[in-house]
Amino acid sequence: MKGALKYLLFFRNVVFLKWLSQIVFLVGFISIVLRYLGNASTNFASTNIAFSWDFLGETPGVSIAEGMYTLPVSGLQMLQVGMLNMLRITVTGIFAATILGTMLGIARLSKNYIVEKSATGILEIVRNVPLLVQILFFQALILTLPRLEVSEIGTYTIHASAKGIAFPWPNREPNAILFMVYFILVLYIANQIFKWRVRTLEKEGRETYPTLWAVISFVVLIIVGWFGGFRVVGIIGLIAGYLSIGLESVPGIFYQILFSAITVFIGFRVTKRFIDSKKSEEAQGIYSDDDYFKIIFNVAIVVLLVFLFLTSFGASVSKFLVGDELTYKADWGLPQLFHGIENKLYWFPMHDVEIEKENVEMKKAEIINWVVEPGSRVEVGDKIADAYIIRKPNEEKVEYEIVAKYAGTIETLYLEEGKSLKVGEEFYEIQVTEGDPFTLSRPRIEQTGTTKFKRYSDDYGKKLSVGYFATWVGVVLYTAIFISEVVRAGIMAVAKGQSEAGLSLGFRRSALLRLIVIPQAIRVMLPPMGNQYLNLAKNTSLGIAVAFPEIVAVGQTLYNQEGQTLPVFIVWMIFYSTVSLTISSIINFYNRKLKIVER
Amino acid sequence: MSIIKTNDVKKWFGDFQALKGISMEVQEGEVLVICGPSGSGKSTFIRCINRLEQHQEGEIIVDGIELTNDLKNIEAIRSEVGMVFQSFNLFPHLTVLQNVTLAPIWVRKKSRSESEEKAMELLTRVGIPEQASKFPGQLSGGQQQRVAIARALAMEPKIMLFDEPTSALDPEMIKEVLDAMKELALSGMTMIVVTHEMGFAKEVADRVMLFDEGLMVEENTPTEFFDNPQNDRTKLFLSQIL
Repeated sequence: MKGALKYLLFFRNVVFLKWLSQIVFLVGFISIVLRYLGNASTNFASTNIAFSWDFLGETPGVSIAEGMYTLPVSGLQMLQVGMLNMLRITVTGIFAATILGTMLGIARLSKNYIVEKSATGILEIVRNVPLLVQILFFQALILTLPRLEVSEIGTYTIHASAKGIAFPWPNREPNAILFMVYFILVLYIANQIFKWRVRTLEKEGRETYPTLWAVISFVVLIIVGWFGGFRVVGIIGLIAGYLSIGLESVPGIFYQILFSAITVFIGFRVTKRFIDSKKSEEAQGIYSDDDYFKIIFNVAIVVLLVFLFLTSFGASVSKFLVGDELTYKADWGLPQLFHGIENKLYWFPMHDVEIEKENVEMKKAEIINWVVEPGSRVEVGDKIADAYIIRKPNEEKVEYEIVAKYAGTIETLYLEEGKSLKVGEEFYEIQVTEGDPFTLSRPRIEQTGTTKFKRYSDDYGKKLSVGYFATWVGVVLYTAIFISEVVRAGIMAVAKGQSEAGLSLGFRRSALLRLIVIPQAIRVMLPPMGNQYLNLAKNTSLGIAVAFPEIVAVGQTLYNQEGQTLPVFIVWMIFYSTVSLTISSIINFYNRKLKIVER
Repeated sequence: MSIIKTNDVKKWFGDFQALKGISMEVQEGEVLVICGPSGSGKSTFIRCINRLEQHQEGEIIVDGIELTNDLKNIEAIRSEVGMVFQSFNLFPHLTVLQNVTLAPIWVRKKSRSESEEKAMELLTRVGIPEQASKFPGQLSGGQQQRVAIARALAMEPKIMLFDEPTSALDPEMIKEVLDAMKELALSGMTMIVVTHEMGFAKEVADRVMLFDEGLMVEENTPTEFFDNPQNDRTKLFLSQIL
């Protein structure tokens, strides 16, 4: 009787209940996911908007206020502009907020009464006002500046108005990317030389001037680079070219199988490590119910993911990697990506030349006849084509000569004779063999068309638009305030004895802070600092309120245009997750590196 | 010639008067032990000598330089006076060798190789050259305190201050630190030691002082101090501690 009762009362058994709840949860979770996917596809079918990524390849027909391309030729390119705009704010903002925040944090700890009180004042104002309000405030602030006037047309060193702020900027020439990669390489080499000299010093015990060596080699390499040495980086372009050719022959199913294999591999590794950990001396191969469930759950997730990768979801993802169909002029797909790298990073980079404006009224250009052909060698200023300036449709054409902007070899002529293209579109490709990587350009105020519309030229100097300025200042200031609290907490967490030891050794306050307090405070500061960086990255989405075309604003425009809400949401989520995970893995990397060694 | 001279030094923490007028002199090469119950102002007093605390009245003259608000004087005195703390205060983010070479390199502006050579010499002197590349967190308390002594000595100070250097240590580690201090005393270093180690005072000190409630109540040679105390307070203190 007793034994039978034990089985009758199974619903009171803890082990049974635990299993039941786990299985119910798993079944519920999977059915909700499947149900939602099913629902979504039915709904799409009934509204005649089939879930599709086609819009990425279609021309959206809208312009973007600022960014890499202002007239995107495809949905994908439009999203790329949004992503880049977001990253511009995020990357520069993180640096600026860190510097400003550190200064504010130290100011808050200052013994100088005025410095301390003003830092506290800024903190209290910024911390207690919503970020959105602050961004709107900075927008309003810059809109109070005077408007651009006709009398102001011309070139300036620096200029501020209700249109934004413009200042001089090194203009990127076709060689610029090559040179920037060379610059990073030189930084790395200088760092290696520094380390090598330090090692020599430690081994031989004589002064080896590591800093001097590093600085001199850096300066020498940069000078050598500027006068042509940077072209050694071209080896990257060469390799990328071969990779591009190789990847072209890889079919989409390969990536689907690759993802599935990786998922199975990771799942197997994780589960095996878990099982192995249970075989250790303490655990002695004893599994609890939770352990069994963990194994089953892992397997279920792997099966679900492999299923997704091998069906239409995986197929649509692999399209992006193969680069089929969607890739009209947007450098997407792995072969296209590597081909892009090949073009930009070859010894003599390829460059697409855009139609330049001859006068303010020019809208289009029509080629009468090319005087060059693919393979012709041109110098700067050589005539390459006879063409017409077209002002408006059906208006008389004015003949003019198009001259070469760069010296090099003509690669491809995109525009046929007798055809026309809008200003700003690419009409021939040239392999650039000469010229400096950068030229300094000063901002210019111009008048567009016959209207009274004045603006800063996109082609000269650098312009911070109202939206960019307001968003940037808003998120930087807001984040800096929270960083200042992190810095203050970090410094205060360093024991007082550390400062006393430093002072008793004769350190001045500045050296004490730099050599003793801050290196220790950084260890406390890093994890919360990472959180602030994530906040900054996510807060850039508020740029939508001041018409700054970051990824959210651009995405919204795009789905209003095309009706594809879900794909845009997927792009947003993948993009923000990627950015956030990248930031946190960088922080975690440094966190591990800086950990204080104990026992 | 006296290397430290104080005259009627007074110090308040808010309403509480920690030092009620201390006048004393320390000769070059002398080892002075200061003892007394907790709260008697002995730590505060030696912390005033290198300006970790600021005295409010009286004068302190170290090696002919008067301690005032003049930053230059403070820096000059701090680089002449080494200090060892009760809680070691090693820099946890630096290796033992870096701990010892940090000040010579950045304050004395010596070359790294010269500083490292000197540091290894000092670490050998305190008996732990093999720990040079470890981090403080990996050492025992006694080893840490010896690193702290080496770190202070690396600045080649004329005077060494010890603020209860053995109070935070296990009994078996106290001896290794005291041995290092004895060796230092025998080499002719001027030392002021705040400690409860009466054995050390008897053996090494040239003079012993007793502080109580911010006043110096007795000053004597070790033999006289322990065998023939003059003051009732000293007698009470010794009866409790011995």
